[in-house]
Amino acid sequence: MIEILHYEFMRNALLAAILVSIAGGIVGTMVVVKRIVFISGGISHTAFGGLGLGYLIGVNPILTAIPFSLLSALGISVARKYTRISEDSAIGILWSVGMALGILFVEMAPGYAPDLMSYLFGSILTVTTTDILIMILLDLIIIGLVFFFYNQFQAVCFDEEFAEISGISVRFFYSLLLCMVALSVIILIRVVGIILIIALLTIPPIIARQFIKKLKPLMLWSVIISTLFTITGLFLSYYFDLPSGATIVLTLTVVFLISAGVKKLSASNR
Amino acid sequence: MAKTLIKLENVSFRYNTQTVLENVSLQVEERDFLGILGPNGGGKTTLLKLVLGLLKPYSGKITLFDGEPIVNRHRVGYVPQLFNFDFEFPITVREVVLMGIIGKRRFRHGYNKTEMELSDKVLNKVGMNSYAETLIGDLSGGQRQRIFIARALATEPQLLLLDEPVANIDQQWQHSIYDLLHELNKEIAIVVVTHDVGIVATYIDKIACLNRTMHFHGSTRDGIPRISEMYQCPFEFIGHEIPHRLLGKHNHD
Repeated sequence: MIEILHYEFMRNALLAAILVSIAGGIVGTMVVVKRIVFISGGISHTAFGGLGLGYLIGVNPILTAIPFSLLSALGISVARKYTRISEDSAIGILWSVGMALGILFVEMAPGYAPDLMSYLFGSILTVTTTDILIMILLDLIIIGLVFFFYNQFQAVCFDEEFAEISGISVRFFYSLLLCMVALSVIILIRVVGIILIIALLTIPPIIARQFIKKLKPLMLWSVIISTLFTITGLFLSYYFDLPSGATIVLTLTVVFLISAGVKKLSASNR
Repeated sequence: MAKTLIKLENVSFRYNTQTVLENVSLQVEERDFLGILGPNGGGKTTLLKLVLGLLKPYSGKITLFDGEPIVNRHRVGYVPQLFNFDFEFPITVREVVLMGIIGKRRFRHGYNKTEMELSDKVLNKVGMNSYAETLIGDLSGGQRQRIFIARALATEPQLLLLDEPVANIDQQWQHSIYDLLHELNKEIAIVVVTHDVGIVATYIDKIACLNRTMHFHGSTRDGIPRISEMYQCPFEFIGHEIPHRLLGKHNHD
């Protein structure tokens, strides 16, 4: 077990597991309690357009995905305020437009896109040191924002109307929350891929929420649970030679099912 | 002369083409305890949202503390309807209460001593001081309503606006909430909107009926002393014709 840590790719993978769990656990908790899972799905799929652009202009696709997912976050926030399109329709449009642009860009890009699949379904074993640095930076931004604006985020998520009357800009904090979702998406792409991102944002907080009722401990436990089982999934995929993103998601799903069963049993024994 | 806190002059409001409020005029003064009664869908919540600047009137003028609603609304303690809330949401009583001053606080983590004292003070006022660290979801309906009143009080308001404050709350708690409002009314004006003409009639001293148009019936004190004061005990009407019996005959057209 220890000897595989001698490989740089394995050390990077373990580090990545922790870094994605920090973003996924903290932001995912807010996604789950604010019930914006579908919005987050929209933001993550729109990022595919940015990945495609990266291939087209020959830049690290992760970097070009950042403006795409941030713009889609702001787009959803603006659509909610200024248009008569319902929020979920706006998400549906952005979702498919992002994917369509991505496919178009990749097709137009010279040559063949060999690691495209890894952006769609994740590949934790190919995470590079540059990726790790980007993840650390984005994690720090997320931690900083949540630390300083904790009460504002909580208030806006719980009761937008009262928050507005009390004099804080609900639109600003809601947009900021969606931007944090966008940054989490970027962090998560390399590990689970665009299509599976939503699992790491939702499953760990949902497991934790069955046992933890307060917001701060909920964030903390989501991070712990996510770290633990992302690493478990990573080892399973390594030893059984399975695709890592899918293995991680299914590991979390099994843990969720077991935890729901335990919860049910403990509730009926009371 | 008493100071005017809310003034509505010929206010109309429409959702798309549907007129929800038409030519509504109303004045709320210091120390008033006004009950706005009307059926569900009669525009009561819309009226409150207009006063709070959350909606803009189609025509007419709304003045709140001699200014624009949007500028002065932080001086209003708003207690919304409870059934819109997700009470699974992870938030403690203290965190709910301190939302009242969230517009004034600086961006930093945790609460300072002043904020802890303020939340203790308002929780004490509503008799919920031992629940500060409890989750809002673990409380009963009546207890939650007290917490939302405490949150409104944390804004140090000159006026409380309450939307259906006793809907879905059991009898015993209903009285205790109105007793609390009666107590608070010694210092601040209170406006309650409700479709339930029962218990509110015992406590209010001005009545307005709202169903798209408004009929302000003025003070119940001038003609009839407040029933509860007359009998020296809590008193409740049963039956739907109550406002008429209480006020004597009055026409809506």
